[in-house]
Amino acid sequence: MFTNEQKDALQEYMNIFNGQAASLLSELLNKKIELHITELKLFKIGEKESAQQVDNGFPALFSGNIVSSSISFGDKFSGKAQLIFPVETSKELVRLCLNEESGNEALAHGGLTDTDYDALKEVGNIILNSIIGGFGNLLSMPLQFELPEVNVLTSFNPTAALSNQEDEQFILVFLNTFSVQDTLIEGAIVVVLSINSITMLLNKIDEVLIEIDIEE
Amino acid sequence: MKILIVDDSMLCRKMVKAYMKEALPSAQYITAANGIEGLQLYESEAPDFLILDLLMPGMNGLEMLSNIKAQNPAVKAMVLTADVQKSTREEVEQIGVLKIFSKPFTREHAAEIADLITD
Repeated sequence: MFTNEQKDALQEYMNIFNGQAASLLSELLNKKIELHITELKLFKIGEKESAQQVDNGFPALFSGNIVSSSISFGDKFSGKAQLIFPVETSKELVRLCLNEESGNEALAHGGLTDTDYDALKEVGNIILNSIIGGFGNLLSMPLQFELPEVNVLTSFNPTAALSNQEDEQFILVFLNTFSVQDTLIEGAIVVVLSINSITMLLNKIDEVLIEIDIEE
Repeated sequence: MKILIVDDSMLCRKMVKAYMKEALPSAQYITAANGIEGLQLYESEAPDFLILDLLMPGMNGLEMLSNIKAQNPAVKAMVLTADVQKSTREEVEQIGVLKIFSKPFTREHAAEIADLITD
């Protein structure tokens, strides 16, 4: 469904939104964030595939428990955006947010304290708002956001993010690595979009590509 | 006048070239998809100006610019980046560029570059 040009354009827009998110996160942490090369993967979930088939065919993003911060958005352009990190990475991120030394106490909720949850909600809010807001700006369309939710999962299950109301949906997985000081933070942004929403996005990208359609 | 555009995104290279052609049709534009290719083109084509991205695979924009600055400290370069952090801006300014622009590239950016170049 995607041409190489459309995929390149989508990756570039995600990089731009991610750069804006990094700037806001840098202000929150009061530390420089070194961005690394990102990777965009696209998956179509068809109506005939069972949840089991989808989950089996989806690459394992991270091993062990993961922390997911998610925001649903709508209405004409609708979907769900999730920021996921391995639990250990999320603890490092919290430590950087709170300016703490490593080795703070691990409590309930898979080793995360209430303060950790709160910090991760804020980080998720900043990053996902930049991504969703970026889509809204690109489409010149205001988007309604729901409040972020933070959950600890034993593994990432793509079908859990899908809406039951849609027969066909798309999953954009943006693998995103950055360093804060000497700490490497590996995460992924997963955006689930309905067929109508991905079509709107591709139509907009095609408009841009037609406008600049020149030989390199 | 020859302008070298260096960016790993095809969209961005095309966008910069299309808008710059509107703003400055008399210039000749050449493009490279990463820092290594950009450095090679800089050496073989001797462009008058550079417009380059920072985050690229292989050799990034800062490394490429530092290499060129070592050969030619007077090189005229402009940076176009999605990394809008203050600290990144300061790092680039320290190396020395004409201007830093935040992505996405726009016609306003192209007009500003045309003014900078032709002043």
